[in-house]
Amino acid sequence: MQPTSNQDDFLRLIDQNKGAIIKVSSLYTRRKEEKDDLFQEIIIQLWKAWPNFKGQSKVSTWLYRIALNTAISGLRKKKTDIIYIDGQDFPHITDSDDHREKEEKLKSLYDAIQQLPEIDRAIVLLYLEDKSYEEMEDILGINQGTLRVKMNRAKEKIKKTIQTMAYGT
Amino acid sequence: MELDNLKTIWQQQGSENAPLDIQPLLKKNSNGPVAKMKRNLRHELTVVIVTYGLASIYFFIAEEGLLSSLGWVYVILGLLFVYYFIRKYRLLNSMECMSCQVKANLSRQVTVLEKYVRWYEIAGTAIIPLFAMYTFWFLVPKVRYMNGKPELNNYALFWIVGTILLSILFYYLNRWYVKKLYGNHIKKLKLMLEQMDDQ
Repeated sequence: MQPTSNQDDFLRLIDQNKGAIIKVSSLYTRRKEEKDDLFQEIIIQLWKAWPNFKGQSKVSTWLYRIALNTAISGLRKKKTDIIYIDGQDFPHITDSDDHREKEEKLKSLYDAIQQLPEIDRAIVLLYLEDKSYEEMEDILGINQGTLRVKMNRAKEKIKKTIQTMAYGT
Repeated sequence: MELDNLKTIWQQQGSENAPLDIQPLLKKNSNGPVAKMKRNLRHELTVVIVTYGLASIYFFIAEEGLLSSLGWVYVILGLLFVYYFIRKYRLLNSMECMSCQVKANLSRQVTVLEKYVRWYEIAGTAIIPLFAMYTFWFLVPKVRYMNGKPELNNYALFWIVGTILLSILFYYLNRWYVKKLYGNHIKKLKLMLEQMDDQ
């Protein structure tokens, strides 16, 4: 058991970064219970790694590495049936007047990203989180040139998927 | 709809779907693949220690110590199992580096998991000659001797041929089983590593 002040620091860190953990959980699962399990597993892995975090890298880099490693390399059962997430299963828009329209767009975005391979999903997530290519390289271990190529390709795929979902073409 | 236009919407997402109280989660055990494998290994080790311990105690005591050589065989087999489990546990401990870069972690998992699988295959096959040795050289002669039956003819030849055939059979059975357990996962990890390099 780690000291309470250490635990308090950790809980504060999680509180500040809950959103990022939810986004990772939502991108790598389709069902509500799977998402909750993944969220919980990420918290456990972060807590296990917390005593060894000495600030060698940025907190966000450390957090995304653990969250993505947990999501990507987990041996979860393969679900072959495609279930589109409903409004309850992804993070909601906050502080916005036209939130309904925005939530629709967000839902389409989640659906489109989930159709990408696991690694591309991580790249898109970090891009949307406004991470620099340098930090993306630091998190994923993929060189920046490859990241840029992959990102451009993912953008095209997402655009096409959203168009197909919207207009059926 | 361009991805860049959706960036703002993405960043406006809240975190109200997260559990309100994180603290209870810190007391829970991991359900990750490596944690599960470690838990299974600990259960297997407990079963081996209990059954082999009881068997060896029985053979040391039974028939006024006449079967004590069988008791020693169980002690040795039990120790070999313990070594096997420790080796597997060490491999599992080195399998994950969650705070490493994703690519490095995947690469490490593939390397260690392949070692783990090889060790599984080798140990699974090696167990057959060990048990054949135990059965043919210790158990059967002892039981026959105690029942007043004569020694068998061509015993060594029968033992060698039987052991070789059983070892071959178990090698392939073991390979099939290990592939069923870990094959798809290794394939998936390798595919993701390829995706990372692929432009």
